[in-house]
Amino acid sequence: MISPASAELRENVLQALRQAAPASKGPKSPAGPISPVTETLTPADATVLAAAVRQAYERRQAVYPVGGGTSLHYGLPRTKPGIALSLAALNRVLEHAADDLTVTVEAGITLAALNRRLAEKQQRLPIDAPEPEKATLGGIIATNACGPRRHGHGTIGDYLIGFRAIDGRGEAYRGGGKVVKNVAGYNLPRLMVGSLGTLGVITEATFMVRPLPAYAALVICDMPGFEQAEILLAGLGRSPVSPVIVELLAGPARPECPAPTRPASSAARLVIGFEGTSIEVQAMAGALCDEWKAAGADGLTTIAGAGVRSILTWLSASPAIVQINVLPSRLVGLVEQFAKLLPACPLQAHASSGMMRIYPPADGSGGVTDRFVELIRITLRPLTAAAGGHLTMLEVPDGMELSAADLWGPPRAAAALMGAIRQRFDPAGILNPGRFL
Amino acid sequence: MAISDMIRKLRAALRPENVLSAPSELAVYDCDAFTVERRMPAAVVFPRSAQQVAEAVCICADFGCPIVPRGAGTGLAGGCTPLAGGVVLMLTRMNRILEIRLRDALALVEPGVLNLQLTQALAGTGYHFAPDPSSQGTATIGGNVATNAGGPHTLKYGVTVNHVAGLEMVLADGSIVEFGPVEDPAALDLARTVCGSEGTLAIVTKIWARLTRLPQGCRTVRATFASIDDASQAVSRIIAAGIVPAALELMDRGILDAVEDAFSPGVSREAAAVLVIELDGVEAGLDALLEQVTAICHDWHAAEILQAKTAAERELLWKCRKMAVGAVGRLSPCYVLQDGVVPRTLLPRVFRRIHEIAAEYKVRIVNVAHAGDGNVHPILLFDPRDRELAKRVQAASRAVLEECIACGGSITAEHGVGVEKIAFMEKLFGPADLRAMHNVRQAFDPAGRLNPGKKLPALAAGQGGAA
Repeated sequence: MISPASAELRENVLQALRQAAPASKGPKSPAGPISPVTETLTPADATVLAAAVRQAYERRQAVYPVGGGTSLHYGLPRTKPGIALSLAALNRVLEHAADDLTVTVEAGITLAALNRRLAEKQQRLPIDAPEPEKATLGGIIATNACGPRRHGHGTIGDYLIGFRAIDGRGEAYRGGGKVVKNVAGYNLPRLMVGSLGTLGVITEATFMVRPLPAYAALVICDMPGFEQAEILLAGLGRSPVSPVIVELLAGPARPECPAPTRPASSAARLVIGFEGTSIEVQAMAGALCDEWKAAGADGLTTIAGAGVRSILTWLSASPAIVQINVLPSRLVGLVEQFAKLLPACPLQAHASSGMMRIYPPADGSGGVTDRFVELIRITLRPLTAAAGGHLTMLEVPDGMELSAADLWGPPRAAAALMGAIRQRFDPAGILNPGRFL
Repeated sequence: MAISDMIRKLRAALRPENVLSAPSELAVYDCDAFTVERRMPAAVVFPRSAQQVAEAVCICADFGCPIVPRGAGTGLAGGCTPLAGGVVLMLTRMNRILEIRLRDALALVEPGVLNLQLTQALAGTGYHFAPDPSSQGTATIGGNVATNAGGPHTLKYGVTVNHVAGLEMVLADGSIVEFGPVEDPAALDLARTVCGSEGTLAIVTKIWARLTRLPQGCRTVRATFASIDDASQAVSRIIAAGIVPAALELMDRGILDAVEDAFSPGVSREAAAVLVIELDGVEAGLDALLEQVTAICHDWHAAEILQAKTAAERELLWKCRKMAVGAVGRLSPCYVLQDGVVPRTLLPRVFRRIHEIAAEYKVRIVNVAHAGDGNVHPILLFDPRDRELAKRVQAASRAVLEECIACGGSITAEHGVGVEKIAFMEKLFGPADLRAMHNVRQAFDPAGRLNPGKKLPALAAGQGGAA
């Protein structure tokens, strides 16, 4: 709780902070030479963090929360002068109630660190995010980051049951609680997911966790064309098997792929993953292979045991430059069109969730170039819109002049309502200003 | 402007047969299944489309009149009571299933579609709609969204919000907006924020329901225990062992007697408590899982563990749970069905405290619980003619909720705050937390016309929002 401390006291706190964490230009290069960030503060706890936000509020300075720094290029570039607030020092597990299958953490802990800790009790948070060694839970909530296992396990919003945050006036508030089922008050945890730091700097979060599975396996199927991919994916919806991963890969492979190389004849590859006891997993992988063989698929590979982990890590680990969301039934057609238009770009889709990601070109020609942006404007976004979907640019290089429409697409019908919500949580408009809402 | 002018306008916009205003017609809308507080609305309207909802909202706005959206009225917390008078907006005639898209595992439904109606429409497809509140035969999906309803199988499959992919809604200014079913990274997740908002943020006019594959197999057992303590210890140990059953339900002796008298599901009269445990998933893994679960029950001295061998036997094992609330009428003319939630490890503690509360307040309490979620439903029995007893029931009810808060739990897991628990919000949340919730409410409904007096206590003077 922040008492209305005197300005002098807050100044002292901030002085102490600066000595503890000398001003730097952000965690990596992203701040860059044109960054408006005057300094990066690394508060030791939520009270100090709140004091920093309150001071920024009084000075009408921008506040840019920073977790692991994996998504700093997400959203419109930072332009308003202000401070970066690193959550790096808020990285503890506060309470792992293992027998309740819940855990409360500070928001700056990384997904990998949390899962190492949970693994001591044979548990995990079963979601994926790119760069899990760097990605923090606060950042994952803010960006709604997800990965291949979302088919079986959902996304961070399905696990977040409570949180604490500091609003745009430096005031601490919380939403939700520590129990797995709770309808007291509004569902603020759901509102925070994907809000990109505009409704508060998240300092603490409570999640449901799940038992670690004993066993996992992948079934990989290469196909000469996309038609077969659609047949197999549609069939999966009628099959009794219940995979946790349903991935569709097309275009050139991303670098360092630990899975068997795709044959030259392969236009697309499906990767289906199972988790559970060894009996369950073997039964399901076997049943799926039988079904697919009967449907005429060849080139099936099953991978179990140690090989699975490295492929899973590869499937979820690297950041993409563009994301497309459509209904699952429209996905394969869109992947096929995109594969033709972007022959140098690896494409990967969480197929059953209707989410496709475009990765930087495998030929080393750079990521988001002016030419690429032009292609999005003229071709890729209209194609996505025609399929009823959304195209989002995940990365905007420093110095590239892009509009909100380039990043997010046309303004949404409920923009005014979203703006009104944001304005009430952040009346001075200092939290990640101009980047999202 | 007079109420009669407003009713005239509503009749003109929605056709006269869709607007009720005679006192005799309004009487049944003065409360929902929470009957302690009642108030007659000024009118009840039955819109047939989002457009008509929007028109009704605009007319009410012109007259500064409160609006209370309502489905089947099965809510137990008074969410549909027209506390401030105004217009009750009945969504039950918007009851069409508009689209079923199995390839996308989605169904588009109007809010008045019954929960069970959707699952029945999916028969033979291999899919179902997972949220299964006990009222699923009468409750609407719109109402499920409003309360973020749960049910026995939400332990594994999640509550309503986990099964909503998008919503169309009418906002307080009469505009119609859509969210989903395609995920949109450029927007706040307002569809899921509206889930559980009890009609205070917007009026939901279409729901993209996410459909769930039926499991390949399931195992259902009913275990009897010599004490409620043993049964609740078994629940805690099952969860702690990392097992997530599809359902894990508890009933105590008091409720079992009523069920046995009414429906004879064949539960031993010796048992102090019963667990109904359902495991589902891939057929191949289920027997090993069942063995683990029965071993834990034996560790906690289960007397009899009965396993269903057929679908009919499964139904019979479930009967004692599904008919439980219906059988309470045999025990007393009236009851309060309470809804609280605690961390699952504290189930033994909360049941012991409920037992003490019954003695302290001289109130008979029987228990059912979605025990796997830590969600208790003590049922406090009374005869409303006994005014003193009715008062003690209210006090005992509050004591149960206070214990839930003391356990680090919450005052409602699935029934909602409504009007019943509004005073408890300040015990659970601090002023800044409540202000954050008011931020959301004021942004959606600046004039405070949607279901006023529900969900959140009014802000105290000087605690105004940021605006």
